Amino acid sequence: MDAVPPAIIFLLGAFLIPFLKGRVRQIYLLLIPFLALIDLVLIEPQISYTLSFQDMDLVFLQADRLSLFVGYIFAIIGFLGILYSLNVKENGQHLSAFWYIGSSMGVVFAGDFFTLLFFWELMAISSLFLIWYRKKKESIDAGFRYVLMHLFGGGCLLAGIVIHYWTTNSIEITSMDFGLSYILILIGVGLNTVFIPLHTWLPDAYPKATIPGAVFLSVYTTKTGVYVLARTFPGVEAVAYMGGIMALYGVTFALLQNDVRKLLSYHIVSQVGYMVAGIGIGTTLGVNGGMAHLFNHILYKALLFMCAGAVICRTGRNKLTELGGLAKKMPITTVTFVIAALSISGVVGFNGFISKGMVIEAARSLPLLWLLLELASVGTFLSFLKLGYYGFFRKKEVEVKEAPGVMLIAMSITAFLCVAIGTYPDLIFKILPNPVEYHPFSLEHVLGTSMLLIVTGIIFLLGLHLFKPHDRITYDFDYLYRKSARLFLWFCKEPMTKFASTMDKVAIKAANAFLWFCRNPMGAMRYISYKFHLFYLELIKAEHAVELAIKLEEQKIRHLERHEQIGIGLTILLMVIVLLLYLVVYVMGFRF
Amino acid sequence: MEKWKFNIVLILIFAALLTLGAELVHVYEGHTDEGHGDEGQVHEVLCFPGYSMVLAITGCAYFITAIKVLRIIQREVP
Repeated sequence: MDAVPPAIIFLLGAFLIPFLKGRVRQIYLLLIPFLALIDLVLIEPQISYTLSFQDMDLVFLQADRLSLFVGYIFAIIGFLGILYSLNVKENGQHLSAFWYIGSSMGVVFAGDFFTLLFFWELMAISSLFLIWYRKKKESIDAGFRYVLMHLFGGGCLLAGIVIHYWTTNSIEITSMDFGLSYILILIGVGLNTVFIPLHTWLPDAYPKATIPGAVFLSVYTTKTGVYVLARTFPGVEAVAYMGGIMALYGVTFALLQNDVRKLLSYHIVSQVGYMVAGIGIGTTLGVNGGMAHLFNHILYKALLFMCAGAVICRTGRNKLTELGGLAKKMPITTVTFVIAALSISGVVGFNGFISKGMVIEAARSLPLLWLLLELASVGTFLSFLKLGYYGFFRKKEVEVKEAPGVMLIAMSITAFLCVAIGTYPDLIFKILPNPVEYHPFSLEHVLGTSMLLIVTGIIFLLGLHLFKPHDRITYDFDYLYRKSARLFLWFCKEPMTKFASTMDKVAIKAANAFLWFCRNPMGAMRYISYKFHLFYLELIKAEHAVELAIKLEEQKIRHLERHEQIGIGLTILLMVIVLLLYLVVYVMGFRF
Repeated sequence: MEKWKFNIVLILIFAALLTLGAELVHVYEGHTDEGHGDEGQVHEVLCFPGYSMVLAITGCAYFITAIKVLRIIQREVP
């Protein structure tokens, strides 16, 4: 049996959801991602499902080791995410999640830029509903900002692809040559990959999404961006440094956050920075490291959002200043959170240790980048010590129940995968896009990382009060965007409106003057000549200026009363002059 | 000096001693490269934790400073 594009399974599978109820619906919801996973296992490297359109071959299934690697983790986390959200009653949420997963799969297996763009836009629209379904004003507003940013990114991508097609006559997804299309596509992809300062949509929108919505959002949009970046911009040093900046910038802002999901959102910026750095370095180890980090990050970040969702679901609170004492009341959630936190921090034995080590090892050739990534590691651990302490371990009396069963099952499986890959990295090494020659458990790596984290932990404990959460709003680049948007709106409202009304008045006056002239051209010309004459006389202060002024008033009245005809000879003369002028302009090379 | 500051200074001195010791062993053994063989083990065991400690302290100092600076431009929740 031939495999089908995994996107189709999700996109078509979603249509049946509204017609099913109860257990049948729950089984069906799990069956679709399971089928997609089986389909992915059956897919071998190939190019198929092509469609001819306007002399172009649109490819819906281009599978190689890179796309299959990303496809596997997308399907696995799709299954776990759906399992986590099994208790959600609203069909619309499931439908948009299925479309979101399906369109992300479509991007991964697209064999040309136009197919990629189609699924790229579909992904933006379907994910929007995962934010709007929270049905709060702040979510609706954040959703609008989210979609505006993505439309801008999609517009840049479209423009870049069109220019690329004009210049190369190819829509194949491949490494780009520098030019206008290169810049536009980099901006379009960079927006989804949360390049600084295009990242603001992420920490703005993700904390305002629904509980399962945030889990899905944490996985797909940024990772499809990373995947496309790996296809189009591998080995670009500027991209590598952008990754380093993202890693440090994201974690610095994460440390300041009080909202749990906003803190995690800033960590997405930081962790995607590692992936971008790996791809930008461009060596075999760098790209492998970046992609391995994509795989691992999807697991532990989804798990962190699952834990945050479970806490919000049970306590109704999302601020660190209001949380605490959950370790005793929600033990399984706490254990899974600790596993995810240790994984993202890169502790030995957890999956983050493997992939982060690969990227940092690959960055040794670029010392500044290496330093940025190492510093970001310190910040990541500090940040999760803060989240763990203030969210779960500090003493506080709370009355809450453990998370619902399906949530716990999904969280436990994800946590198990984090530990399994951390202790047996061959699980992902075997499926990475390039052959792996990396030994994660070298003495240097184990000792160096352990000591880095132990000292960071000691400093955190010693200066605990320095990291205390505060209920404040942190300004990011979105402050500038909002100010600029307000300035733009004011510009449209005030100067532009005034300019338009002035132009309107000028046009009406010009039309009236033309009408006045046409009513009696000879009289009008006479009146204008008198006017000039009067102006001259007034200038030289001549005595008979008053007489002329009276004559001018008479001429004005006469002009309105009389209709003088221009003689035929004068008309012909005027026409000859106009034609001669046209001839001169034409000969000089201008054409109207 | 506050107790926590004193402890950080102690860790820093310990890290510096560890790194210095590792470099001395490195020179004493006559290595000119990073030495990943049996002879380089002592160097690795001592040196990398030392460097990591310095890096951790540098990182924490950066983040504490960044928090303090960025708190200035934070605003209260309305």
